[in-house]
Amino acid sequence: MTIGKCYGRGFKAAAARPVVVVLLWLFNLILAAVAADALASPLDAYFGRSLTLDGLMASFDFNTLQEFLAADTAVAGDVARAFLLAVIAYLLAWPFFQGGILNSLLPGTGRTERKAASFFGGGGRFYGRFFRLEVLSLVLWIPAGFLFLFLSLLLDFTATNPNAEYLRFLLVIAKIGIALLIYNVVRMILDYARIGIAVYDTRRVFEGLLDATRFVLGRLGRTFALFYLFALTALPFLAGYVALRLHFPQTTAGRVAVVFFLGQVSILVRGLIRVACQAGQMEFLRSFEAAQDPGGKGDHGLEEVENRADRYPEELERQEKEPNNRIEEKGEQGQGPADHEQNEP
Amino acid sequence: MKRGWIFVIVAVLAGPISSAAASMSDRIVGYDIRVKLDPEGKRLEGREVMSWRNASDALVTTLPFHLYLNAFKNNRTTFMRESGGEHRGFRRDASDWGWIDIRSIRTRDGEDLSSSWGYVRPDDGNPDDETVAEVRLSRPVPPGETIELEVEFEAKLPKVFARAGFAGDFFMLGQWFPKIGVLQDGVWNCHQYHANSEFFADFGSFRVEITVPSKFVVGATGRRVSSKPNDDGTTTYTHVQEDVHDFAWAACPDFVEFREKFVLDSPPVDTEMIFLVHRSHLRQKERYFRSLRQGLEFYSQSYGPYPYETITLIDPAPGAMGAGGMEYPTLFTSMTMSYLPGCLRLPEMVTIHEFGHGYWYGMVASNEFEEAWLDEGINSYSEVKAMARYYGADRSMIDLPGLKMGDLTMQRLSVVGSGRFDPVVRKSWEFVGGGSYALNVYSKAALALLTLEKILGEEVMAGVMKTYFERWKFRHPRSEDFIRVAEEVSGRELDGFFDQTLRSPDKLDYAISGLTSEKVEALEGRLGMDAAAARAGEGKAGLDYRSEVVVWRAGEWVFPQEIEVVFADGMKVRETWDGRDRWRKFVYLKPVRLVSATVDPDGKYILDVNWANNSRRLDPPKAPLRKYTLGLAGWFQHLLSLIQL
Repeated sequence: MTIGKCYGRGFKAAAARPVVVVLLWLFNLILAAVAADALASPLDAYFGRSLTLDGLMASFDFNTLQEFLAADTAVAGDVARAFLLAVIAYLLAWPFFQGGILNSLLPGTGRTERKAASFFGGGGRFYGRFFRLEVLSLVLWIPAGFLFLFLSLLLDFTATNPNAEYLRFLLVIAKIGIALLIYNVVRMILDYARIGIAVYDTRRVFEGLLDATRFVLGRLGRTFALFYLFALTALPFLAGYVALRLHFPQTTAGRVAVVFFLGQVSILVRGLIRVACQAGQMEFLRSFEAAQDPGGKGDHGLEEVENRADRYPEELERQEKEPNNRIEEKGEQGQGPADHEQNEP
Repeated sequence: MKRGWIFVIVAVLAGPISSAAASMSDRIVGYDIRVKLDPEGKRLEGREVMSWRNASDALVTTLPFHLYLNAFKNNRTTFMRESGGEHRGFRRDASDWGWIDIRSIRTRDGEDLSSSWGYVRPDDGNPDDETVAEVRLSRPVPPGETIELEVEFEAKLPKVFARAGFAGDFFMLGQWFPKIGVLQDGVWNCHQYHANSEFFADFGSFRVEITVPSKFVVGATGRRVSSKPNDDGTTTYTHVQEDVHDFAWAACPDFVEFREKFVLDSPPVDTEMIFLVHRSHLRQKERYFRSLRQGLEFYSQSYGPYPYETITLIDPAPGAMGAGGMEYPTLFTSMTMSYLPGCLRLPEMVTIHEFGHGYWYGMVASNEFEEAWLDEGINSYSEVKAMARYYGADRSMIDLPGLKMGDLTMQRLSVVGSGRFDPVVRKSWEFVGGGSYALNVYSKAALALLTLEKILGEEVMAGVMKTYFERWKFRHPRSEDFIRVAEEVSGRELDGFFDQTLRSPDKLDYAISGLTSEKVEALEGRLGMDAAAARAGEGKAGLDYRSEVVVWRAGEWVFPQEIEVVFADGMKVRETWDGRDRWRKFVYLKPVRLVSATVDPDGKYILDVNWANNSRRLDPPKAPLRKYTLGLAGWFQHLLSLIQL
């Protein structure tokens, strides 16, 4: 399957799951609100009844805000701590949401796949495995770190002249680029590992990670192209939001509301893109599995699981013992999440 | 070769004429130095003929000298102990040292004084510090007489992290030669090299021959009178300058030299700007050119015309930032990075600030060891005004879309959140730390002067500054001298202002702490017959409002205050208060409700550490706080969403 097709199908699948997208947005909003609330009280105590508030409304007055932070240094610490806690909560909860997204993308769950129950069910079902995957991913992060250090050292050799200041600046930019590249490779591998674990409902997380590593590194160009296609789709929304915040003066309550609303739209769109990315990657993975299994009868059906019995015998045994297991609800052959949507009544 | 000799002859002829014609200072000292740089060994070899005139009315038997390169001689010098081997965020190279050795010292008569030469530690008695030495004379110098000494010295330069030294083949030579102290009120003022201090010396004339390998480009204090290639592949540059109190130079083969005339009609200025820009920073050169022009214009117009024939800007090489941002007479170091965007105005600020030291330190030569605010504080005040004039008060330091910051805010930030350890006037090495030194002598002093300007008015303050410059240029003023000029020009008694702002570590903060406005209640219960008349002044029950404003002196400093009270019908009432008590209550009985009250409504007190509490209103709007809370939530949301993709 072509990258473009996976990209299109990804969006199609995501668009069919608005509940998932809204849940992601809601979760994001709640955590950010908790962090922002840490600033609201001291802001109120400092500016609450002051006439300087008028100046704050007239324009974004960074000078005044700086004074506020300098006058009460504890506030800056409180806000930073609140944000850090929000990030940690987000990271801890993210495996749950990954499980929810993937479960709702998997075919064979009938109409429930669009509903919150499927999302939360999947979150709970896969949380342990995905959390373990995050821990096991150290086997990728550590070599990735060494690879980055090695490449950095190589780059440093090209700029030994201390006077080549601009070149060294460019090298810092290059190093950031390399770091992002390596970081995204590992993230992609983890994405495909999660997809594999969800699709085959396996508890053998480490093997899933190895499979995903082989898969991604075996076709790095195309996996990367797909990943960056989605990432680049998200970029204009982020840039648009930043431009809006910087150039659209929030001088009235109405304008403040407009900016906040558009910000929420931007977050919603980015949630949609994340779901689309997972769906697209699932399509991509499935297309290779199908190609390697020309005699296979389905992508997520019992037959495929049987073909993989040599690798995941325990899983197969467990699934056969569980009459309500999802794999008995077979999807139609050759269909991914997007196709499945089309065939629903 | 021939042309070089002609040049030398012309210069020698011209030199004495110009120096005799226009003596701006009392020229206590004279230096004739020959120095040779060994770039491989990072060494200097020099011979100096130093003359010193006894301008006091007492016999002088000892002469103290600064040997400041010895600050880098070991890890236990006073500078190293105080700084921990770090200066402005730059750390010293652990294996590298710098020093200066005196090979010989003799009078012009040939008397060898080496045996009477020894190190002294006037500030802290630190036996490991050799930054000040003293020579005992066999024959005292009578009042009015001049003594000449011939000193041979050798120096090893440190890897630069604090003003002087080398980085690769960039060399910055500041405080590099044996320099005599200042005899003030019959006592020698010659301090050791401290972490939190700069320098102090007497005015005089300098003639310095600098020999470097010919590939080096040299910049130095004063005007170049000759440039002579030698047979050994070196070139000797001769610079002369009168009416300065120090001499610095820099050399680097990667300097690109630019020269540009700066001419101003009023006041008349005609000087040559010399820029030695490191090759790697050429894309930044226009920023240097522009900001030096601005500095020359601003300081000349604000204080007095720039009198020297040259001003040289040295751009330190990458890796030599420790040499950056330092002033010397008619020469200063700025700083930049080749990739620094125009919206971050570091090179502009540093250039204007360091050029400005040509006035506050260079010409008005206060003692930087003992009263550093007189150069750093006054110069920071000038810098804030210059930056605001050329780049906009609210964006003079950072001018990004959505993120702007002015120089005044930068100065305020350090003061607003600071502790209360030191006053502004204190010996530089007696501050509790480098942070306290910087925030007091730079920022707090600058804010004090900006406050004074608001109190006196811009015109009067301009008169104060011009008079101070005119009266004290080429002399050594003290804090009292500045205060006397300010009082004289403004016609006001300012001791109270300066006692607090310069000599107290406390802060200025006035606030509106309470605000109420309630309808007058009807009388309930019983009242004597006579009381009705007495209550006539308490307002009509149910119709009038009793409004109260409580103004609070939250800080320790006492300044007279104005308070503006606004009522619902738009009426504004101005009150005055001497500000002495901890609080003062103002009560009003009016048929309208009180809306708001503001202490210092004209924003005079730039030193007030909390502007937000200066005003208070009864019914605050909610939209501004919601705007900020929602805005922050929005940024958080987008940062969190970056985690997901």
